Amino acid sequence: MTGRVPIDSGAPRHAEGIQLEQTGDISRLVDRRGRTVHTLNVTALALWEMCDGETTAQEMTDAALLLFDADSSTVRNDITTTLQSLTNAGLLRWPTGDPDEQRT
Amino acid sequence: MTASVVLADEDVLFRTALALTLDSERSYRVAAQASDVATATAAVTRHDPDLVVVSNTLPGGGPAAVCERAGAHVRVLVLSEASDHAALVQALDAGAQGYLGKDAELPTLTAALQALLRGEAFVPSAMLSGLLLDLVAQRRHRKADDPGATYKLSRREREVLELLAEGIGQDDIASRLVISPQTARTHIQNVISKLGVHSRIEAVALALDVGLVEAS
Repeated sequence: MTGRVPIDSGAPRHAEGIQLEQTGDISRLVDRRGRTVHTLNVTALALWEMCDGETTAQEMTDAALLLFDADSSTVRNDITTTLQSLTNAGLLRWPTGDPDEQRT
Repeated sequence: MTASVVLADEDVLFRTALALTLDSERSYRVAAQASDVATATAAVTRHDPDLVVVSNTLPGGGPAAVCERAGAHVRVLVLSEASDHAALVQALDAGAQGYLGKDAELPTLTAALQALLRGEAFVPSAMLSGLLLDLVAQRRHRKADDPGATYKLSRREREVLELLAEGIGQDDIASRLVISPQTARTHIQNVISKLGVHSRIEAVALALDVGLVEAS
């Protein structure tokens, strides 16, 4: 999926065929399908681990705002951007817009 | 600007070494040291520091008593023997703004202190997603009464429980769920805590007993 992700309408989950590799403080997602590697910063790793198919982007934002004393629009924008990036890289799946997903 | 610091730790050798290290940097001045809550709260009252660095096992009441005495402008960093999710939540609930394991490197401690001075929270990166998911779960359960979910396990925690019931260990759970071993450990700890048991084996036994998972 490319373009704008359906942030308001569902909970993302990991795409199939992805592995997490960690070396020291460096975290990488290895996409075995395309044999591509994506390096994650701390925030991206935390968001990736929250993508369990149950937690929505709004819930991620709300939790981050509880923890960090930051402007809500900034936090929301950062989270949206990161999820967008992971989605565009084919690492996340969203429940909306995909009939197969709706059935799971 | 030099930040004033009160150090409170029962381990005198560790505390002294930390004081020497911080004093050697221009950014910090150790105003007082304390080995228990009574001394620490007296030092906080007297010096009104910018930062308090406190052990999570400080004799006499732990960080909560120190946080209670510190004013809202005083930032508190809790140091813990082990990077433990329950200890992290306890520290933040007590009113601390930061949490760090004592196994952290010095640059990480400095980063934590600087984050606190900027008015930010500091949580070790490996523990961040576990904490955020915990916050999500707390908000969900405040919003909905959720009477059906007796043990209030999240979907991810149920997955972890099922994998535990299959006899799969922490590292393999992490691999299966494409998460870090630290986060897998946090999920396992949460499962054990929510089920009110003391071990993974007890958790699996209870889960099989009440039908949370099916015997394979």
